Amino acid sequence: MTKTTFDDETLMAFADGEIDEATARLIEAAMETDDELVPRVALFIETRASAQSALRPLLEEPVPDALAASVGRMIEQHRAAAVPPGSVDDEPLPGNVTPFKRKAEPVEAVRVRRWLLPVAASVVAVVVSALGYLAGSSGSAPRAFRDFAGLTDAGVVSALGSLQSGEEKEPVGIRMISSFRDQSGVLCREFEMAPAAQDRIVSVACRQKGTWAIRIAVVSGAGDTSAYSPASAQEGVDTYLASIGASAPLSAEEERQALENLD
Amino acid sequence: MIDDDPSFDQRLVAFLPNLRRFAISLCGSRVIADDLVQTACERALRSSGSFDPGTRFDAWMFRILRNLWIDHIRREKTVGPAEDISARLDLGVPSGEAAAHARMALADVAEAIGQLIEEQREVLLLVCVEELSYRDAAEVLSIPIGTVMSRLARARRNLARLTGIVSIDERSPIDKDGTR
Repeated sequence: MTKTTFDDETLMAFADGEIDEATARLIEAAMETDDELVPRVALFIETRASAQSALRPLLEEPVPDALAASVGRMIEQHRAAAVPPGSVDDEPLPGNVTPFKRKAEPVEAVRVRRWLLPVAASVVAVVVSALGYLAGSSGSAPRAFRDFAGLTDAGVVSALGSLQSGEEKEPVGIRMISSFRDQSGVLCREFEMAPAAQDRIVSVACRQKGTWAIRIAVVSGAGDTSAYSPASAQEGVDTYLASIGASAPLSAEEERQALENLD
Repeated sequence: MIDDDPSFDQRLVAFLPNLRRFAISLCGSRVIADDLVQTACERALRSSGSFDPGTRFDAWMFRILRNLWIDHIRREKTVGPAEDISARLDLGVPSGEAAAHARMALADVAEAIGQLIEEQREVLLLVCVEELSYRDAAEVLSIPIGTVMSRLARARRNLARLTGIVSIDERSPIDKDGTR
């Protein structure tokens, strides 16, 4: 069986949601059998997220008074001058700056693109904790991750199909959080797993064609030294939920009926 | 196109934090950054008539600011590594050891970003932090999309290596042309 080699930039575009549908499907399929792809994609997901986290404080910093005041004054003066367009005082943009021709995309569309994470049975998380799972040297680590985030584990599959939200199942260490529908009406469940003492995986799986497919899994570790806090892990999942148009959680009765009527 | 359209002014003010973050991350100095932001606002206001409201305001502003930064570098003739911007980050004071680790790790990432070469840092900021598309980033920087992508990939591999986010097998990066 020939193995297609995807170069780093293709995988990066995939991780950034900048790749065409057809190639995305190819990569998803390849990731199910090629352990080497998983850490490479994870690198791009991880660095994007860590860059955002690290520089978020800069965004939240208040604008210094002096700067705000100065810009305020400029705006006042600009309004007061109010010269009509095309006059001598309407300076052209410096250099070869051309106005952007393309229309602004709605924010929601951009966000959805960013979360074009693989929809496949075994796959990659936005990894929050130490990437022992994804970047293992011997290749055993990706398999380990797949084993519990992937749904070949009968225990997880069984839990998804039977446990109500709020219920737990030992010894698998899985707890259902909520059920909801995405914007297409597909049934999805948010759940968490605690495969190791300190690690916690929050995941969303959706029911498609008779099986559960992981849409996103975020690993967060309580005592790790990574760049993330557990809060940003939940934020990651929440952002994903918003991007797929997640409905409000199903009531207990709605959930019970949905589980009874699984395809 | 109305020159003194109030919503343009409002957009400008609302965008100051993003502009400032981009500027600080580019030049590594709050003092220079605020200066650049101020000048960028002047330019933007003077050219507001040229801005088509249906297009990307953020990309338009980033372009103005980045061009000013390039001008600044040329004048100063210094393109050394950025100052340690992590030292200027006040990440607040959550308590506890986990938070302390998180704080250190966050500083490491910011520091690592500051250590990237200019061309890698600016694409990383635009795409990964300010969330521009590859295409918009290419327009801001006046370079082909392919160049955005190759610099961005290098930036992220370097970032991962510098911060130990991912243990990189040095043989693994696979570029189209086989180079790193």
